[in-house]
Amino acid sequence: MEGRRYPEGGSPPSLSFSTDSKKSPSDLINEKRRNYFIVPNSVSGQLAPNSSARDCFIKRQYSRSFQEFMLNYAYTVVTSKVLSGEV
Amino acid sequence: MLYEDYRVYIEGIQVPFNSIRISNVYQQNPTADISLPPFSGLQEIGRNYQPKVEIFFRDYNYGITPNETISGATRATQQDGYKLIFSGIIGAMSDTKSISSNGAQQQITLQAVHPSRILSDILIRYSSQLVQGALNETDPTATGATTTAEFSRETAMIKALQGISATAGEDSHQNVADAAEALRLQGTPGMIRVLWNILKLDARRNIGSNDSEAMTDMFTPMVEDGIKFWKRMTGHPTIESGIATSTYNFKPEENAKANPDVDNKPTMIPLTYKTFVGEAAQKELSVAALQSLQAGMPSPEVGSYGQLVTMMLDLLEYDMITLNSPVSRADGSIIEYITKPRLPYYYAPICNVLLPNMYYSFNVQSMYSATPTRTVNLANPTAGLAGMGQMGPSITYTSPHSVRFARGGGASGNLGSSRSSYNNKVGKYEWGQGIRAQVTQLPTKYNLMRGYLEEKDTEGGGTEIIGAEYNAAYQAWNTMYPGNPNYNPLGTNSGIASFERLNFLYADQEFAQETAKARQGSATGVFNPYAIVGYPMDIVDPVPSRDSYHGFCTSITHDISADGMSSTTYGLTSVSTFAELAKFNLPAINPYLMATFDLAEDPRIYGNTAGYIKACQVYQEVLGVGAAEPALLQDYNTGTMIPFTRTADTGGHWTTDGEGPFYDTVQGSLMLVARNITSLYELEQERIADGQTGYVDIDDWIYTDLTDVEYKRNPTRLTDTTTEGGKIVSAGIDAESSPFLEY
Repeated sequence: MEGRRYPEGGSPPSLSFSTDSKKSPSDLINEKRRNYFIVPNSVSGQLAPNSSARDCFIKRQYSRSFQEFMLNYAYTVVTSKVLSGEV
Repeated sequence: MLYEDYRVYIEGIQVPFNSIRISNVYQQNPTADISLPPFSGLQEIGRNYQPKVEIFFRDYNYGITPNETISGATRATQQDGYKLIFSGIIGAMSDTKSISSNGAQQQITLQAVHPSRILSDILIRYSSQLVQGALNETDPTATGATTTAEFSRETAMIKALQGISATAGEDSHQNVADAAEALRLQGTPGMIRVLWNILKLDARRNIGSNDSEAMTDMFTPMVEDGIKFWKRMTGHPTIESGIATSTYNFKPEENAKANPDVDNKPTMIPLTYKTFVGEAAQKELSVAALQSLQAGMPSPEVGSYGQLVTMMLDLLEYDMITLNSPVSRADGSIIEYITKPRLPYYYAPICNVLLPNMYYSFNVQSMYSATPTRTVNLANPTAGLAGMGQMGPSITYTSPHSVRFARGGGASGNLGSSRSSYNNKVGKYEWGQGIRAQVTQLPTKYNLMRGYLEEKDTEGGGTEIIGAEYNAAYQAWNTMYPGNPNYNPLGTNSGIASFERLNFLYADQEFAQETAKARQGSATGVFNPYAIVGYPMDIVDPVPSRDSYHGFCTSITHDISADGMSSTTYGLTSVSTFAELAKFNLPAINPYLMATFDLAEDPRIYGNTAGYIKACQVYQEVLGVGAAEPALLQDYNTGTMIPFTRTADTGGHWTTDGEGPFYDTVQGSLMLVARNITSLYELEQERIADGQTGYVDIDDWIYTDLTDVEYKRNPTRLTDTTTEGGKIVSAGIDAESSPFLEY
């Protein structure tokens, strides 16, 4: 019964990941935080050269990609203030 | 989250943490639970990858002084002050969140395990198609000749008993890297190294379409160079040197296929089989036992190298202790794995002493009614073995000696007479408490060997291997039980076949184990990174009206909080008081060990100068610290503590000449028991020498300006969120991949 699937009528909303220019400042911060890493340039030279699966498992090399993730994590946690709304 | 005395590194990056729990349980791999502030994406870090995690503490004894921490010391000095308390790989994660009227809490907990667990993933089948199945151990080569697997049931264990050799060539099953490794792995540790070499040799064959890439290109470099398993392993040279050098030439069976790799080659006798029986019987004891173990292994399809090592060490009554805080040796080497005999009753190393200011609670339970007064081990030779004859269940091997003496007919009898199952004589000490018998079947391995051993003993003419070792062990028993030579299992008037010594030895060890189980202990105190699981431990009580305790450490748990609160909890078994150590003989230990430890003249570990000096040597050569002699810790008569100290001159040992007592403070107490542990600096230098990168501390970037950063796309997220026609344009990635690796 097509008409009763959505009480308010109409079709399902279209899915979109597109950027909306009307986003609030906190939306923009969250989008940046969730989708990007912050990597301090001062330690960029101390990181592993690559993220080779073989070398990371066999030779115990660190994964550069993983290190960037953990750097971003440490940087964000150490330098940010946690807002009550984030819990 | 940034309490300076502890650091957590994940994949070489220092991260803040909420709390840590590190657990090291006897005969298990060390584990750690690390609770971190939550963050989107953290729950994916263990997906199809095993991130490396290391935890360090700041050591004010062997690391850095408090002044250096605030005086602007160099990065190298600061890093050398941090010592390893755990290294592992992340294997599990939990994400928790709770909200209540009192507040909210959220955290992500990463569960890590020591990387040596990888040995359980190395299936025997990865070595070669040759070892698949029990029957097909030969395969044609490209030229049409046949070759036999190195991991053959006929020869693999015999090769293992040859141990390792510093001079062996690369294609030899005895090959090790250098003389230093040969010294560390001499004796029993070399046996598991030989089995590893055997698997490597089989893997290199690559016959026909068979490919052992999993072994040659993955697990071999990972174990040898990645986690440096063999470079960081050792035995106790004082114990193993005698085993390594006391060999016999292996004689093949008549009509057996000739094999130059094993025939007439020097072969060791493992500790547990050193019962000084005839040469022919000793060969059967060791070889038959190990070959039956190999036959009893799960199929190579599912059985692993780790399983093989565990089963072998269990058979030989050995442990492999994994140190979550590895030893840093003066020569720059690191000791992380120790393969040693089980030593529930022995001196404690200095690092395993809990001085009064190091604990704030302890508990000891002695369940006397649960302690048997005798163990009775029934032989069951009715399993249809050829040549056994009708012996029925009338053969029993009992323990302790006082019960055997009564059952054997007293002074006019002998040990052989005590074997009668239907003899219900009461032991001397049972008159005071009744009889509580622990009745078990003799293990199958002893029964299976019985027929062969009896035949071989006769065949070999009962030739004893007499020498200094035998004489010392024989004398040790006579010292414990003077005036009873007819009951000495090593004696010629005992009335038993020489191979039966093994059964009586087993019975004595059973009795000692049952007695040990009935006395358990636990203690909690300040954070103590120096103690080691798998070795004896002392708890010293300074109050004269109380007792100090000695036991065997079976677990150590460290709890560390980011606000600086930390503690260590210990679990012990086989607990006895210092007074009991002075008064009672040690429960039966292997006669070879009694002789090696200089306990033959006096089998007590109290006030025993010869035994104490030897114990200092045993521990100093591996752990870098000496032994703790209970008589030097506490005055026997007054119960007060004896002032002792430790200086640079005394190195790893204590002396009572100093002004002390340092044990009046927590810091002083930790100084007295400290040992040198591998540092963050040493590990970083080792990584750099291997061509790897080092560690990144928070101090390295904490003052970074927000304008001096690079923004990179998060690989756990879609890189392209474009949609078209109601679906995401970019393709998904394989479910078995990790977003943090390049394949």
